[in-house]
Amino acid sequence: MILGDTEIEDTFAEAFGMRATRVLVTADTARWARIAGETATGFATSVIACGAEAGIERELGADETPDGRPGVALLFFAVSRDALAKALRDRVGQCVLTCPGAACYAGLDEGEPLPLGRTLCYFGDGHQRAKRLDGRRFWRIPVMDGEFLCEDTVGQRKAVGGGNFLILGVEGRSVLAAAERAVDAMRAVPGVIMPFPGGIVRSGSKIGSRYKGLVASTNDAYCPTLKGVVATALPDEVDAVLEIVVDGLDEAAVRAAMAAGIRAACARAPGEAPVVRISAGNYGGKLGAFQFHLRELLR
Amino acid sequence: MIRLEPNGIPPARLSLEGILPEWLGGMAPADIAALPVRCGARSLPLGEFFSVARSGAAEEALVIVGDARLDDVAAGMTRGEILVEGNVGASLGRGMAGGRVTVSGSAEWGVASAMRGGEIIVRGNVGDQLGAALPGEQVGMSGGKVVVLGNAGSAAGDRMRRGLVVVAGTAGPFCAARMRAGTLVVGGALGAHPGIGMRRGTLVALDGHPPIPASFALSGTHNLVFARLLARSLVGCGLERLLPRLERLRRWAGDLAVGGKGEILVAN
Repeated sequence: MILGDTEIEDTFAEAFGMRATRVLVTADTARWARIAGETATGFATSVIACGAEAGIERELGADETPDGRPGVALLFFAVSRDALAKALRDRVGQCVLTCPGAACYAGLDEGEPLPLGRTLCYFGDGHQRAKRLDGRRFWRIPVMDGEFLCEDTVGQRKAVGGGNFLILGVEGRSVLAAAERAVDAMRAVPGVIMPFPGGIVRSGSKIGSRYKGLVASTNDAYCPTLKGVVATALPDEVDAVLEIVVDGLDEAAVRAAMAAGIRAACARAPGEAPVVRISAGNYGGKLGAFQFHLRELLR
Repeated sequence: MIRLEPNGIPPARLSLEGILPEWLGGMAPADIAALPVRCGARSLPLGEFFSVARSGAAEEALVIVGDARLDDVAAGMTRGEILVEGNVGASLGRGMAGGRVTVSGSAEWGVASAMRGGEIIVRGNVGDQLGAALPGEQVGMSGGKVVVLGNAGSAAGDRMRRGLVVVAGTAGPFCAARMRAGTLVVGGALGAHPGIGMRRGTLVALDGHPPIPASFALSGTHNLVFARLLARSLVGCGLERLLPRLERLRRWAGDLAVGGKGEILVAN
C-alpha cells in the first residue's frame, strides 16, 4: 500500500490490555492547571520503569470543569488496578496537592472506583472535611493557600496501551517534522495520550538483552547506525526512525489516533523529504491482546 | 398520574403516611379510596376525605390538593414524585429516602426530619425543625436536598448529619445548632445562636451579618473552591442573586466548645 509517497508496510502494532483512569485538574489560571497536569504526568513514559504511563489528554475551558475554572484532563494507564491506584495516589499527592490553587476531580465514573481523596485526606491531620454535593463526595484538605479540594474516588476501566507506529525517513529533520505532525493530529482524538516526550520516542526497544537483568534493550534492527552490522529492517535510504506510542481508553480510540497520525505523517510539507515507510512494532502477535494492522487502519 | 382532591376541610389532623406514588401506581381509584388513613385517633378510608382520580399512564406521580391539616405527606417515600398544590401540615418528607416532592405553598413543623435521600422543594415557608432529628433520635437529616424558597422557623438543621438544606429567606434561632455534618445555606438573616453546639458541618450565611456565637473563632477570609461547587448546586434554588457572594467568605470555626470542626461561612 502506498499513501502519498510513503509505503505502508504490511504489518501490525501489538498492544496490551491495561487499566486506565481520567482525572480533571483545575486551577485559578490555565497556566497553573497546565503546570499541575505536566508535573503529575511527568516521568510517566513507560510502565517498564515509571509505574504508569500518563499524559494530558486535552485542556479544558472553564465551562467544562466542575468548579468553573480552567483545567486539564489527564489520563493514567497502568498494568493493574492496584498499580494504577498507587500511581494516581502518588502523582496527585505529590504534584497536584502541592500545586498552588489546584483541585482534582474524577473524570471517569465507571468500574470499581480507585481511592483518591479518601487516602490523600490524611494529609489534613484531622482537619480535613468531607462534603457531599449532588451525589459526589469531596475532601477539603487545609493547605497553606487555603484548601486542596479532591474528589473521594475516581472511576477506572479496561484500556489499551502500546499502540504504535514507526516513521522511517531519509534524514532526521524531516522524520521529526512528520512525527510532530502526527502527534498534533492524534491529540485531536479523544481518549488517547502519547506518553513519550512530545509524544515521540526515539528509543524503540526489543524484548531482552545480552546483559542479565535488563528486560528490554535497543531495537537494533531499526537503528540506522547499525545497518550492515546487525540484521537490519531498514531500507538502504533510511537514516532516521522515530516511533509514536499511543495509549487509549478503548481499542477504537487507539485505532482512530493511529490512523490520524499515519495520515498526518505522510502528508509532507513542500520541500521536505518524504517519509519512506510506515512500519509498526510487534512481538509476532504472541504477547499483546490487540493487533492494529496498518493497512486496515487506513482503509 | 393520581390526583387527590379534598372533599372538604378534614375534621382533625389527617396523616397521609403510606399514601405514596410508589405504592399507588398500579391501583384503581376505588382501591386507593379504600386505603386507611389516620384522622385524629381514628383510622378511616382515604375516600372519606378525598376524591381520587387517575389520568394518563400509571406513572409514579401523585398530585395532592393541599391543606395545612395534612401531615406526613411523602413520609417514607423512596421513589416517584409528589406535587402538592397549596400548603401541607407537619412532617413533610419524614424519613424520605428518594424521589421528589414539590409544595407550592408552605409546610409546618418537621420538614425533612430524619430524611435520608431525595429532594424536597417548598415554595413557601417552613416551620421549626427543618431537617432536624425526630424526638428521641440522635441525628437528623442524613442525606438528600431540601430547598425552601421562603423562610424557616427555629432550629433548622438541628443535629443534621448529612445532605444539603437551602433556605432562600430567613432562618429562626438555633439554626444549625448541634449540627453533626452536612451543609445548610441561608440567604436571609439568621436568628440568635446560629451553629451553637455544632460539631462538624457547614452553615453558609449569605446575609452577611449573622450573630456569631462567642465560641466561634474567625479563620480568615477565603476564596474556597468548595464554594464554587456549592454555587453550582444552588442554581435553581432561588438564590441566584446571592450566589456571587459565595466568591469570598469569612470563615468562623466552631463550635469550639464541642471540638470546633464545624464552620459558619459568612458572605463578605
